[in-house]
Amino acid sequence: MDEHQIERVAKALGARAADRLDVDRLAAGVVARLRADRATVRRPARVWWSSPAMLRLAAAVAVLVTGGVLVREALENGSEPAAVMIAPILRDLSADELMEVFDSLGVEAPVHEGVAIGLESLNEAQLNELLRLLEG
Amino acid sequence: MPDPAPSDAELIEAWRRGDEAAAAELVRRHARAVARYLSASGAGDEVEDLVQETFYRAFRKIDGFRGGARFRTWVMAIGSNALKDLRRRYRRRPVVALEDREIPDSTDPYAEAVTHELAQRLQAEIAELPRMQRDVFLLRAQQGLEYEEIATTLGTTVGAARVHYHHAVQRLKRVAES
Repeated sequence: MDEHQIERVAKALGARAADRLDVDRLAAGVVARLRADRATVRRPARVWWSSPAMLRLAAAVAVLVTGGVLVREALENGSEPAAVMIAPILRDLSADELMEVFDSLGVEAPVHEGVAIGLESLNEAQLNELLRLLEG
Repeated sequence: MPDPAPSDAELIEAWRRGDEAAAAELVRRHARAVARYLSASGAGDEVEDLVQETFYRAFRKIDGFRGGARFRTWVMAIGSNALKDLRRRYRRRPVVALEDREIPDSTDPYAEAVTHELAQRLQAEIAELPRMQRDVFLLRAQQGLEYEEIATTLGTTVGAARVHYHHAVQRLKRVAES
């Protein structure tokens, strides 16, 4: 077999795969990915606290501070700490219900890259742990 | 008289200004050639995803395209990198299965069988060539490029490209004659 025969076979390779290609769909897919990239780039630059780990930490601190305020108010008023009273009830709630409770405390979940990361990223066990801390 | 189709260079400039339609047109214009190249390189069933990934990467680093080679050739070199990354990710040998539909039609069953068998062996061997040999061989034999453009695209010299091509052909000849 000579070089030209090998080249002829090489030219034929992949021809059917190319014919099967839906170039319009392919082009749309490429453009969609590029568009998503550009949308990300156009967002304002994030500062150090935008990393998921820092956001989780910030959320936890916010919850603890809120809980601390509740406890202090309760002690000053001579009644049982509020967290102590509500924690046993909250422990039985689902993750979504717990989120509603945290929302009611006015703790805003930060947003990272268009996806909420913060309280929402905590699982049920982690949320319960925060409540346990609130309980003191 | 209708306006002539915009050149690749014009479309690239339009994309640099943010024109998504220009990017889509470049994909439509060159996707099949890139698919042939990647399929022959051993992309197998993943050729469509690989072509998309290739163009995505190309447009993201379009500022790296200096015009020393044609856009299509430059994209093929990016595709070769994408294929290498894919193989590394899956840590497997290249997919080189050749389906019946990849074989050119023939009215002679014997000739068709011989062509099929030979093509299978050659494609398997092409996929196993050292990367530079494979890239040079396919850009030359399949895409019909001149050594100057191949060398520019792959960042090597014309002499080295000729040597790579020679080694690839010799290896494929041995496979074909075995």
